[in-house]
Amino acid sequence: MRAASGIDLRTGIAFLRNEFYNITIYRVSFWLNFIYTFLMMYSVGYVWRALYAANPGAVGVSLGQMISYAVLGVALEAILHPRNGPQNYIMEQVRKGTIEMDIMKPVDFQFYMFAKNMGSLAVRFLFLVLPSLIAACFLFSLKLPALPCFLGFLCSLACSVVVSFFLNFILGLLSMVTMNIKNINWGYNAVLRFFSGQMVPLWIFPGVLGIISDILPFRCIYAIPMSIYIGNDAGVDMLKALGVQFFWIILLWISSRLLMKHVFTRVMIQGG
Amino acid sequence: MGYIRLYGQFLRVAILGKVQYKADFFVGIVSVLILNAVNLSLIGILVYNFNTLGNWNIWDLMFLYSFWMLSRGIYGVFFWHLSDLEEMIVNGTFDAYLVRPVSPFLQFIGKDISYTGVGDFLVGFLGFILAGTQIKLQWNAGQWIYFVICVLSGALIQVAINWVGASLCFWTTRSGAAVSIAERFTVLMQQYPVNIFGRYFQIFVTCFLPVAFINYYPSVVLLHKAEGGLQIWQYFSPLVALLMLVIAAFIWTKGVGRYAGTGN
Repeated sequence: MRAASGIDLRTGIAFLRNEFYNITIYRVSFWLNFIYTFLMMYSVGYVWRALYAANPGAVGVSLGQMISYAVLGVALEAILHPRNGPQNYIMEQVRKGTIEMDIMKPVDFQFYMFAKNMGSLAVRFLFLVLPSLIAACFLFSLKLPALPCFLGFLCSLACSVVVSFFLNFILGLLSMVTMNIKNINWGYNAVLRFFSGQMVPLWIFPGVLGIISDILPFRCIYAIPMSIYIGNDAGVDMLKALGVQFFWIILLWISSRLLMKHVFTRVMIQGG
Repeated sequence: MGYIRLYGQFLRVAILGKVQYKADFFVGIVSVLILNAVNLSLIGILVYNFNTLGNWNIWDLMFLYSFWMLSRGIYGVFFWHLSDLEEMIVNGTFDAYLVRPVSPFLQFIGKDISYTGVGDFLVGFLGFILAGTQIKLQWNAGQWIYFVICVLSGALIQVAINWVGASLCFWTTRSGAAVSIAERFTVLMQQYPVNIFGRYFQIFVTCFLPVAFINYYPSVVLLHKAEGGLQIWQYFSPLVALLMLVIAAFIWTKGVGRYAGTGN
C-alpha cells in the first residue's frame, strides 16, 4: 500500500526542501509581511485596551488574556490564512491546463499537495510566526501559559493546520469543477474571518450566532488553539476541544477523499 | 474641457465593456456586501458586549464606517485599477499609452471602471442613513456642505495614496506587495476611532500616512467627539486631499518621465 501510493518520508522531505528554496526567494515580501504583522499586533492590543477601559468585566477573561488571544490571532495568520493553502496552486494549474501532470505523478495527489503545503507552512512558521511571537512576548504583552496549556496549544495548533489544509484542499478540488474559485475564495475568506474567532472570540457571540459558530468547523482553525493557549479551555474543556478538532479532521479527510475520487473521474471524462 | 469630454468617452467604452458580463457584476456586488456585513457585524458584536469603544457608541462607529465606505466607493468606481499599473509595466502594455498624443494618465484612468465601488458606496449610503437617524443628526446647510466636501476629500486622499503606490512601480517595477499591505492595514484602521491607538500612532496616521483625514477627523468634527476642544487642523481634510494630490501628481510625472527615458 505504501509503495503503491508513493507515500514515504523521503518524498515528503524532498517536497519540504523544495518549498524552502521557493520561499526564501521572495525576501522583500517577507520583510513587508513582518512589518504588517507588527503593526497589526500593536493595533489589536489597543482596540482591546479601549474596550476594557469602558467595561472590564464584560467578556469573562482578563485584559491580559484577551490581548494574548488577539496578538496570537494576528501572528498565526501567517500560516492559517487561506491564501497560503494549496487551492491557488491547484486553480492556477487548472487554468494553465497542466493539472494532469500533477495528478499523474506517481504520488497520491492529496499527499503531494499536503507535503507541499506543509513544507511552505513549516518555513513560514519558523521565519514569520516564531519570531513575531517572541517579539510579542517582549513588546505586546503576550504571556506564556502554564506547561499543560502550552502542550495542549501545540497539539491543537497542529490540528488546526490540518483542518485548514483540508478545507483549502476541498476548495482546490472545487476549482477543477468550476474552473474559477476567485469568488468562492473571497466568500470563504469572509466566512472564515467571521466564524473562526480570529479577531473576535466566539464565546462573546450572541444567541444564534454563537450556536452557528459551534456547529461549523471554522472554530477549529483559530478559536480552539487560542482559547487553549490563554487557559480559557483548560482541563476537561481542553480535551473536549481537541476531540472536536479530531472529529473534524476525520470527517474532512473522508469527505475530501470521496470528493477527490468523484472530481478525478470527471476530469478523466473531460480529458478524453 | 476637451480632456473631460475625452475621459467621458473612455468611460463610456469601459462601461460598454463591463455590461457584457452581467453575472460577474452581481457576484462582485454580493461579495462586497458580504465582506462589509462581516466587518460591521464584528464591530457590532464587540460593542454589543462592551457598550462603547472610547466615547463612541455603536451608531457613532457605524457613522465612521459609512463615512469611509462612501469615500471608498467613489474612489473605487473610478480609480480601483490604479493597482493594475504594475502588471501593465511588467508586460509592456503601458508603453502603448506613451506613443499616443493624449496624456498617459488620462488613458490609464479611463481604461476601466469598477463595480465593487458601487457595492461599497451602497453600504456607505444605507449605513449613513441608519446611523444618521439613530444619532438624530441635526445639521445646518454648512455642515451638510462640509460633509459632502469631506466625503469627496476622503475619496481623493485614497486616490492619492494609491496613485503614489502605483507610481513607485516606475522605479521598482514591483510595488503590489507594499500597496496590498498598506491596504490591509488601513482596512483595520478605518473601522475604529484613531485616538484609541495611542499618541504615536495618531501622529503617524495624521502626518505621514494621512488616512485619519479620510473619515476620522471629519467624523470628530461632525459628531462633536473632540476631547478637550476642537483643534483647527481637524477641519483640514480638503486641504490634506489637495496637498496629497499635488504630491502624487508630481511623483507620477517624475515616474513617467523616468520610465520613458530608460524604457527604450
